[in-house]
Amino acid sequence: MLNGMILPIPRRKLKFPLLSKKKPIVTTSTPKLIKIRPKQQRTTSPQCSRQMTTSKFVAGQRAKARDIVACLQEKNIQLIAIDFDKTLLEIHTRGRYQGKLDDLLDSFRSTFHYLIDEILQCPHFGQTLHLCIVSFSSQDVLIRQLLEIAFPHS
Amino acid sequence: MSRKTDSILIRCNTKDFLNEFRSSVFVGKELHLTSIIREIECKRGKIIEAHRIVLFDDDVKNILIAQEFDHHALQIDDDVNLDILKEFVFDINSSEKI
Repeated sequence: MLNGMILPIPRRKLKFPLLSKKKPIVTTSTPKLIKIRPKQQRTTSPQCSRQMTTSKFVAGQRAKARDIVACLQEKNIQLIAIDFDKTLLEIHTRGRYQGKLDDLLDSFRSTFHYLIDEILQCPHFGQTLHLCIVSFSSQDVLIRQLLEIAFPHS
Repeated sequence: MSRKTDSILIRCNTKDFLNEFRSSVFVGKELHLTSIIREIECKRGKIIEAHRIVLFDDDVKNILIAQEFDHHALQIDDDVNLDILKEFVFDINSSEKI
């Protein structure tokens, strides 16, 4: 409004063209086939994700075990003694285990497996850091054999 | 070919071990540890003091006895994991005897 006069609203230029009034053309030709793109495949399969999670877990456990061994050395601990039944193993052998060694390996606590593995890899093992298994069991040969199969790469 | 596991010392209640300590009274794992310390001293030339020893055992009696003998000891149960071991080891006061 200007000086009391109502000004006309300027027509805006249409951004879109007017729809043609032409009738649609109907053909009898076959319709175009539209290619449907397949969904992008996942780069990792569920099995692969599980393996990555497991390997991350193992790496984390090894790191913790390494920290423990490093700390033991900082604190000048020279001897680590681990009981056998219900400590190194989850079960009690009663000192008269007659089964297969491989079956006994299933009862080896993973916590101590990681710890002992790191101790064995420590350069000071056998020099300033010693490890022993102490048990009321009489089966020292069994314990020795179990350690050999539990840590074959050492 | 020697394995690193050969360097892990083992003390069990074998006939030889029981004969060695025939007249002794078994006090927790102390006789086992004493025997181990003797072997390390003889064969590896290292003297190990009592407060430089850590014992992991499920039997609370062995843990209490170990602590009376100035060792560091942790009772193990089925809930044990590396975080628990880490916390225990980090809390060890290396300068003080128990």
